Amino acid sequence: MSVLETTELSIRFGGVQAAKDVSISLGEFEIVGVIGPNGAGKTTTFNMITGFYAPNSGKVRFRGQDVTTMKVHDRAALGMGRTFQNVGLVKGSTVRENLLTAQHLQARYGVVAGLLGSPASMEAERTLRERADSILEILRLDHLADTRVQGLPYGDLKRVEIATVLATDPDVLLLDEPSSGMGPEEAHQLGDTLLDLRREFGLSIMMIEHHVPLVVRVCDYVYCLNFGQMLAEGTPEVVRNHPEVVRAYLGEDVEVDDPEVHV
Amino acid sequence: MAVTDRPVDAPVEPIEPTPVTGDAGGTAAFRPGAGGWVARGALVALLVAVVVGVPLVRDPLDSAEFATAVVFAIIGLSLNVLIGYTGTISLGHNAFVGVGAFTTAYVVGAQGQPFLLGVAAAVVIGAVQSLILGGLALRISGLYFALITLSFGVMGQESIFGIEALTGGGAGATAPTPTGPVAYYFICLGFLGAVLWIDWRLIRSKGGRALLALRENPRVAASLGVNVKAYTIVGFMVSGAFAGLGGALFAHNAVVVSAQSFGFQLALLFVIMTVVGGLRSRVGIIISSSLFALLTFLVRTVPGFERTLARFDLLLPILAVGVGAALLIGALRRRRGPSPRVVVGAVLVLLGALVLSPVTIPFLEDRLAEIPVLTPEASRNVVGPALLLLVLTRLPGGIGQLVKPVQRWLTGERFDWSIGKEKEVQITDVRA
Repeated sequence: MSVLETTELSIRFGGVQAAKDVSISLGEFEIVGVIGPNGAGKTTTFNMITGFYAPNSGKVRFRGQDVTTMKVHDRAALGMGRTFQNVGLVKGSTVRENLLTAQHLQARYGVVAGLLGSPASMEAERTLRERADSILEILRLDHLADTRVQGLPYGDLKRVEIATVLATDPDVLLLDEPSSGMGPEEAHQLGDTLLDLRREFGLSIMMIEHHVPLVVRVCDYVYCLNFGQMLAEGTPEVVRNHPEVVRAYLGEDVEVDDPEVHV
Repeated sequence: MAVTDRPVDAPVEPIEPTPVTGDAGGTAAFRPGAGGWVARGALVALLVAVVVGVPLVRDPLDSAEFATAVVFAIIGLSLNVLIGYTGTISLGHNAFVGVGAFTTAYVVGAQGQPFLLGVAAAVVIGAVQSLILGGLALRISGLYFALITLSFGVMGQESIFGIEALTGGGAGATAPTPTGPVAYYFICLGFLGAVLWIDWRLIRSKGGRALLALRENPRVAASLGVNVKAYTIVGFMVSGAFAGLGGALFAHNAVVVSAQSFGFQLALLFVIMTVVGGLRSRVGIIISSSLFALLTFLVRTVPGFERTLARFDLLLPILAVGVGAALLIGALRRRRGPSPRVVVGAVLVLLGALVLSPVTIPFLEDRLAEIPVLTPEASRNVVGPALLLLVLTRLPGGIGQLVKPVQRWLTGERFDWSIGKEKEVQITDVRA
């Protein structure tokens, strides 16, 4: 059974049909890629899945439960974690503080108890801190723990963001262009990280990604969107060589069987 | 975009894991020597001596002024929760504070209940009224919300605080001081301590972290599981509770409060002192707020200060010397070497100061001496905006930024001026 499933999601912004009948399914422990040219509706689809946009029609199901009208923070509580295209971190805080912020739902004490500094809340804070540090260690980011997020290089930001989302203790990870701003080597390392995370945290991952070698290496299944509609789906190899996909990326006149072209 | 020049299946050369480096600069556990600790202890002792000792030594009547300074610090911290943590600005904090003042005046003054009950009631009512405003902030943001708080402040001053049955109308309400002035100062200090504790725990617990996250980006906060609406309200309620407390302590200090005590000017002063103190810097805000509260008192008390402020012929050369010196320092500190034009300008201004001084032109004294430039009461309304301008353009972290190196030094680190250099003021409201 799929962990996360959308059925015929559609949304319209004024005259623009940003997404039409998008049906995506993410199985348990799967890594699924969502590709497509700029403006294809990939992030829009993510925003409907995570609750920032309310679709005009269609459904989002999480472990069989209909979450289409559920609030963003409630979906997060169910186990949906997402990253953002332009890095979703609290820039004024340090890396560790960001991970503490992300453990909002793991902090099992009342707001007032926290304000008064009750012993239980202090104890809980210590636990959160230890957990934050262990996550940073796993992702080999512990040397950045006390660094302010503002001013970190972009590649580090992306990795810190993944650490932050992991701190929310998600079942499903939705990554919006995790490798953007990374060089080929860094992207390759990211692939290792994602495969490790799936194994060690039992995650299912859906990611919007442009870096094709990464998609081909880690994804079990790929969806390609274009102009808000599903263009093709299948294994990475199939989608990569799909004539429609190649055309969408490169235009009408490209020789599809050109061995140098890898979409 | 998605085209690479390398076949996908080509083996990628193995990559060395990023070496785990220590902290940049290798701040390998700096420990101050014995002398260093003595110096730190001496500074702490000096601060304690000033805060505790000065009110004990001076005329007990002055203690009311010092208590006002403490109350202003509480109000500054209240506004800091709103502007610094939740990122919404309140131009109606005069009403926030006024509600607390009239609540305790009603409970203690009119109903004859004990002082602590009045304060508790003011805290609760303060939190509740800001809950209502917080509800509005969920729907309206930015400038428009600032306008709403402004109208709330003006409405409080003009109509709510005029309800005779509750506030005594024009004659004002009475809130007796529970103790002598010196003891009351220490009571206020105790409440400031409680506010500081709560503020500290707020930032180090999930509530405060949620606020900071949603101030920067509510969408990110929501995706991390923060209920954005609920926590916006939490921020408002904490701020409102602090403001209510500040108002109650203010009332018992002033004894008689009326609608006139809580005009719009006060709201403006609150915002200025908070921003000048430095958003999110408790120490900076306490320093700034108490300085603003004490400005009139200081001008009156420090020998020669009032006379200088009140005489144009004395003030002008002093200002000129200040401007000239600032220009000169600025020119000399430039990285690319001093700019000759600015140096010449600074020297000219300094010479001008000499020429302007009443020593060289005695007739100026007769013409201008009697023009009152700055009364002690008006001084903060002039000093405040001037400092605000300075902070907004040159020193975004306010006083907090200036004292941060000292703070760090006190905790046993190396003294380092470069700590806490901030580039821009962040008074953002992104909940559009």
